[in-house]
Amino acid sequence: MTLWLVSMAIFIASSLIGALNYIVTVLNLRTKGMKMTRLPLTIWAFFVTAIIGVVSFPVLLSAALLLVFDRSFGTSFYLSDIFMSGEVLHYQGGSPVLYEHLFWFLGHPEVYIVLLPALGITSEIISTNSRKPIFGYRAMIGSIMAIAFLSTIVWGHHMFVSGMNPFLGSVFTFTTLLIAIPSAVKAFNYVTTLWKGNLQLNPAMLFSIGLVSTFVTGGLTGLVLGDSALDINIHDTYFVVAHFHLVMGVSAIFGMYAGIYHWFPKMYGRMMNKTLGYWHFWITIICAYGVFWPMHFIGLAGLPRRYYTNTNFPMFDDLADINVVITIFALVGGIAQIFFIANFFISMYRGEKATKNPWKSNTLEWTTPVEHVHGNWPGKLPEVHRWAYDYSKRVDSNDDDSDYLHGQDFVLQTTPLLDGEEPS
Amino acid sequence: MSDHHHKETFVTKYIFSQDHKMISKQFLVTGMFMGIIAVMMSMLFRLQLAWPDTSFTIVEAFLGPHQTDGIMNPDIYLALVTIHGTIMVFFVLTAGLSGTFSNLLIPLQIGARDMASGFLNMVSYWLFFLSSIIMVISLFVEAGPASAGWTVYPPLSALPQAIPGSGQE
Repeated sequence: MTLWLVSMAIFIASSLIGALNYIVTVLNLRTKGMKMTRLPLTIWAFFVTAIIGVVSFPVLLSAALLLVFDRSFGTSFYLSDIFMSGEVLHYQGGSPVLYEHLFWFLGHPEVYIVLLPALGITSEIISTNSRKPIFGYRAMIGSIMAIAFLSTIVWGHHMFVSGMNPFLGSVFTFTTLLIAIPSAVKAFNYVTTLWKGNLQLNPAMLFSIGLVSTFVTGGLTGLVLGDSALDINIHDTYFVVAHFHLVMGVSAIFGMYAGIYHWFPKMYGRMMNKTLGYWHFWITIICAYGVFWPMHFIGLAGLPRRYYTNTNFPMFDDLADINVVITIFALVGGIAQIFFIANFFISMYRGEKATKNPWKSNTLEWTTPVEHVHGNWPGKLPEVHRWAYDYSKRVDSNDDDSDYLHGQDFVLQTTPLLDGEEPS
Repeated sequence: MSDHHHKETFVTKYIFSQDHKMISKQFLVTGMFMGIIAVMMSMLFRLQLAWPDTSFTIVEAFLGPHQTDGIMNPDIYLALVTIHGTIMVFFVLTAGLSGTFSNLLIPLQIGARDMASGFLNMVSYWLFFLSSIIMVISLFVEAGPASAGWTVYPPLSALPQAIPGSGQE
């Protein structure tokens, strides 16, 4: 346990150093013409994620340090009036609820630290592979910032049964349900970007669409859990497990897979195998739903989480078969990740050589040479003249039959504006 | 930041690299390694949940002192759940995801030569690596890994005598 705390303390130091670096880099090192409102949404997501990390991780560090003091040096920050094995322990005046507050002040923003980068990656991939500009670029930035702000004032919804004032519970219910607004803005914007797009269903795109699916499925149960009255029934049951695994676990993993499939050519100069990617995606998403969909129902039936076995409770005997089904999906899904691991390492050495811009994307990373060079661009840094989402831009923006601007369905950010072209 | 090319050795290029592209690969591979551990843990405790009284050779092989005749002990079940949560949330989806893609894409997509501080970036990765190693080591100490849930609520986590995984190590 002490090792756990030491490991986490070092981890927090690492992520703080990283986050400060990301923030400073985004603010100061943008190339000529790269205004904040021309940044790809990936960068906006990483930038805001880093800010939430800097705001909330230090609180976890202090919580962990106080816990170390309680464990090893006899202080009573979190402990009071404890009887153990017939013995009265000396701790006086502390409160375990204090720890819960400190922990969840990180714990909830942490959910968005995990999720926002995945959503940013998805924005970029869905737009590129729909060959359409992202729908509602400014609304996306606004909702990223709204989510970031709201995420710091909702931590109490993890603590509805901790004994805190019920009035406070309803305040946290209110702020929690507010998060549904920017989240819905993002979900609808993804769907609208996909609408009538020229979809390129490569593995990265499939994982991005999978993310939107699990994000919506998991988000809907968040409405139930975020309500302080409804939460009491299902607190600490498998319903909670199903909710957070879908909305942040599976979604974020899908975002990560999408990012790897999409940027692998940039990282290793080679392409990943598409067929293995399809197998990986379909088995993974079927198994993800196979595992977590039934969990909602065993949770509603009252099965508590974190129990080693339920055989002592005859009321749960009916659920034993569902647990077997879930386990089979989990085993198949887990083993199917071998498709990915194999694809990753084999493609690193044997994959087809990548071209400079394999996905016909607009952003700057695809203007760098395939072989990495120190400093990213040989010679001068590129200059930016437009936003990142000029896909399928027509000569006449009101006429869908007119020719593509520049004769192709994408326009790199480095391409200067034509005479009379409206800046975006 | 500079255009001059200094000679790179194997160590500065692949291990103590300050280049954001290499650091992002390091984050990715470390994150994947931790992910494999955490997913295997989840498969082990799913076995337990589905067939609580069945003996498995694989449980015997992986859990060594923490099992009896191929059935895992209750304490290690809690530890597996705890470490699965910790690793997935922090080591895979925070460091693995942000570390990989922030490092790769921030300089490349904004048109910068590298991060503002390549040195701190390297320090960030190596602290992450160190914390990963300590987390993995904690699986092998005699008292067993932390087992109070990934949220490590006190008093369980604060009292060494409360549960075995909360022990002296």
